[in-house]
Amino acid sequence: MEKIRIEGIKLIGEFALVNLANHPRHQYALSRTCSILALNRINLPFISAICGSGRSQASCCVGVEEQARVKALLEEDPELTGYVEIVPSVGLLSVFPHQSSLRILGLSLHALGKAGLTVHGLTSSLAPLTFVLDHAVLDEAAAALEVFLELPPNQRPIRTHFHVTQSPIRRKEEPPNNR
Amino acid sequence: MTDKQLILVVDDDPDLVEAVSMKLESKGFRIAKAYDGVQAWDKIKEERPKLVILDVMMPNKNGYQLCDEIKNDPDYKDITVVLLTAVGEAVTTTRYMHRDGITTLADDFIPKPIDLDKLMDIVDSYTS
Repeated sequence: MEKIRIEGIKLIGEFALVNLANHPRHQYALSRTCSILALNRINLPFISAICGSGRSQASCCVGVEEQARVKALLEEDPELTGYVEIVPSVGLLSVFPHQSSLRILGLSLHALGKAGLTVHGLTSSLAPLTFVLDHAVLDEAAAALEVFLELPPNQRPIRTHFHVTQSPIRRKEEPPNNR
Repeated sequence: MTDKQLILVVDDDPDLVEAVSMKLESKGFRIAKAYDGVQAWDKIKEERPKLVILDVMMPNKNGYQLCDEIKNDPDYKDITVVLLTAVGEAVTTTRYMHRDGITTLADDFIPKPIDLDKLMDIVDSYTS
C-alpha cells in the first residue's frame, strides 16, 4: 500500500483527561467546567465535545499534576458531581495536516486498533487530527501510524516538553504580601 | 500586490502555522512551513526565504538559537526574522534583551496571541 504523505506527527503530554459523560446538559456542563478551571487558572491544552444519538460527551485535558485539584473542584460542584471521570495519564498524538481526509482518519483508527491501543478521544482542528491516548504508548502509536503515513525525509515525530502554567500577576507597585 | 516572495513559517503548533500560512497565501506570498528549529534551518538552507516568522518556544532548537544561527551566518544574515513571543509586551525594541536575559538579533517581534492584521503590517513593511 502506498503511504500517505504528511508533514508531521506531534506528541505531547503528560496530561489527565477529564470526561464529562452523559450529562443531560452537556454544553452547559462543558462551559461550567471551563469556567471553574479558568477561575482557578488551570490550562486546558485540549478540549472536545461530541453529541448525537442520545449520547453526549465532553472532554478536556489538564496538566497531570493538576488532576487531584481538578477532580476536587469539579466534584464539589453540585451541577457536575457524578458526571466527572478522570483518566490519569494520557498524551496527545497529532497527525498534520489531516487534509480533510477520511482515509487518514480511518487508517489511523485501524492502525491504532490493530496495535491494541485505546483511543480515549479524537478531534480535528484547522490542520491536525489529534488522538488522546495513554501517555505510555505515544511512541508505539506513532510507530503504528508510520506504517501507512510517510513523514518528510529525515523527520521523526516531534515531541514537545513545554509545560505552561499560570501564576498570579504581581504588579510592580504591589508588595509581595498582597499577592 | 507583492510578487511571490517566499516566507517561512515556523511553529510547533500546526494550527498556527496553517492559519498564518493561509493569511499570507491570500496576500500573494509563497509559503514554506517548518515545525521545529532543526526543520526550519534545513528549509532556510534549501529555499532561502525572504522572511522567517519564528516561534520562540519550539522543540529540538528554540527560536532564539535559530535566530542566532541565521544572523551570525554571513550567507543568511540578511533574511528578516520576526519572532513570535508570548512575552512581547515586555519588550520595547526589536534588538532587545528579553526579560529572562536572552538577547536576540531578530528584526521584529509580534506577541502571541497573534493579531493577523498586525502580522501582515509587519510582513508588508519588510517585503514591499
